[in-house]
Amino acid sequence: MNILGVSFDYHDAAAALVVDGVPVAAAPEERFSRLKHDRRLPARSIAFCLERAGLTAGDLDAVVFYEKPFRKLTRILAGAVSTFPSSGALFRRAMGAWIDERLWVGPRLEAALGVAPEKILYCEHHLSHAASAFLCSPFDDAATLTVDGVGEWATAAIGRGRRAGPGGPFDLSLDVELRYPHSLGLLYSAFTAYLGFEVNEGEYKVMGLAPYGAPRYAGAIRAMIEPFADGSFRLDLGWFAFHRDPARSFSKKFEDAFGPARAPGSGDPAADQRLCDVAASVQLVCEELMLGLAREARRRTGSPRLCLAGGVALNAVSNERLLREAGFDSVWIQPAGGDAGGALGAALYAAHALEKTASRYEMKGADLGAEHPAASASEALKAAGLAFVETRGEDDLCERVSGLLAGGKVVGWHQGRSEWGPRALGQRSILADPRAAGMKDTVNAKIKFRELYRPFAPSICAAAAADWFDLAGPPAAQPYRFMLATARTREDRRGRLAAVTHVDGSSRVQAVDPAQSPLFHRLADAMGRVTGVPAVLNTSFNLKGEPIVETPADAVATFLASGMDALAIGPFLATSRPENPSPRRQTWESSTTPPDAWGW
Amino acid sequence: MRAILADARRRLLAGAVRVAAALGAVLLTVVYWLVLGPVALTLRVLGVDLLGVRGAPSTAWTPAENPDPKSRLEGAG
Ligand SMILES: [Fe+2]
Repeated sequence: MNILGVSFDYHDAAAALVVDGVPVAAAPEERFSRLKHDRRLPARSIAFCLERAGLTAGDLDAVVFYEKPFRKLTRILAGAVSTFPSSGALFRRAMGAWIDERLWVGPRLEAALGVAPEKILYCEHHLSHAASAFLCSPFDDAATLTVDGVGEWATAAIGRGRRAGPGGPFDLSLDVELRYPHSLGLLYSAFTAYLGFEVNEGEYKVMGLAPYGAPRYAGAIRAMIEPFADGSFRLDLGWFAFHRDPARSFSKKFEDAFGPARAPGSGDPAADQRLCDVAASVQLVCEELMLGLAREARRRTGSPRLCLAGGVALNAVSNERLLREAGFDSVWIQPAGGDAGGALGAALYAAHALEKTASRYEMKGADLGAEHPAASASEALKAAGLAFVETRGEDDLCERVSGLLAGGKVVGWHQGRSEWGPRALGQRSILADPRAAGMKDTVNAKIKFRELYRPFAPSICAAAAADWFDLAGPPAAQPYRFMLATARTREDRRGRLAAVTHVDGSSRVQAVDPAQSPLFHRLADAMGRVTGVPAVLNTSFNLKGEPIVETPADAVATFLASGMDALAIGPFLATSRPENPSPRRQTWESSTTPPDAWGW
Repeated sequence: MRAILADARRRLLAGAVRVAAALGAVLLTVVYWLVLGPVALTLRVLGVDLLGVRGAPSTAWTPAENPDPKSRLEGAG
């Protein structure tokens, strides 16, 4: 069976194609449209998925939307009714969006794909998240925990999955859920907005800012929450405004307690101790709440295995604590934890629900995106007037690139199929030497044009990872393979990993698996031979506010617009830039649509 | 001439979109006060707690419904 999963209308629209239970292609729309967090119907991603599989829309057996839109609408109306008369602006804006597009998911898909209405199915939001984790994990029986801002009504859910291969029994069900407005994701996002960052984008910045502060506001944040012994909680809505105001997420009472909110884009937040302390406090409370939810999942299901998804599952610091303290033997986290991942989960769930013979699948690598032929790479380099050489195989490429990195150069790295999920894992990466502390500032300021306080991650040969980092589990464990959890850099090694160790000694490690990422592993290994440190500084191949590059032409344009020293695309390596590069880089649009991060 | 016509058409369309948006906002405001308002006040008088602000005293978990896998995929609501 050919099943297409889609997510759109909120943020990070995506498509995923599952054939006989196995994902063959998946990608977010932003990679193709070049519009960050593009939320429109993912026509380009769908076209890519179909093309990759050699199918047409007529070959699809089902198209599955990642949530139940009408159920979501009941929640929005209930919210507007409950907060009347202060929800007028929210009601107008939400209903405008619903009347314009959100009510018509089915007809829009029919029109875009030409499929019959009965082929269009809908998988609940948290079930899609749960399926994206369980049906990609190596487990046949596991607990599921999904935590995000909000789906239809649910903001978190505990469930259980069981499967026994083709023809065997399959069950994935949700046991209990927390419901809107009581939401860990919305709590974290309210603080993201308070700290002056864009919601659904700036949560990483809050996490990166937290180590600069002390959690002296944790008590005040805990006072906003009514916790229960079973890990569930309620928010005291007096502190928030997201349930009644389309433009504000926190109330006056909130600002009275924490001080004035930071205006977006104003000053360096890391220079303001109060803001750092607020970030540290909300991060700590987030970790505590996640631990409570995970322990309840353990208690309810009795399973020693956990599958985790939802936007909050991308909080790598909280994931490290979960790995260490929640009581599970193994944890598998969906690398596309946010709503893009819902497209894959919806398709996988439908594959198992509709087809008894769906294959058993395990996601070992994240390379589900598009691949571009070497010819398009050389064309893009030539078109830009870049001088380049064709390397003599992968060893030669890795030798040359590791030499450049060890010499302090910053290299753009575009190889193979693009990654599924927001992390660059060695297919669309900007690489540098992880050893010298100054490299962090260089890459932040000159390459990515982003905030200086933000840390970078190391990608290290998996076999060596435990020597350099105090991992919360075996180095080959999936969360480290997909850069989904932090670990302490070992104290005696911090001097040699200064560019990738954060101020608190933590690091968001990627343990590079030689079987899954042979080329990238070879590069990290080559770095080990040259520098004694088998690792590279690895950050996503994009500039601040832009989507990660997709095509060689995107990579060349980004290279020309930044201060990178060299660019490796496939076998080709360019180590200089032309005086007057042509074509001039286009300035990509950044998302101008008003944020509807609060799920209305 | 064609460019002038195209420009006029674009302006007309943009104007129509603005008028439609304004009309829509007025209509939605009317619906908000005349439909949602009475419903909200009635529910408030009846003590209905749609957002679960005053839920059970010992937990915020709600049991999830689990219809059979095939039928759970049917329908947008
Ligand atoms: Fe979600």
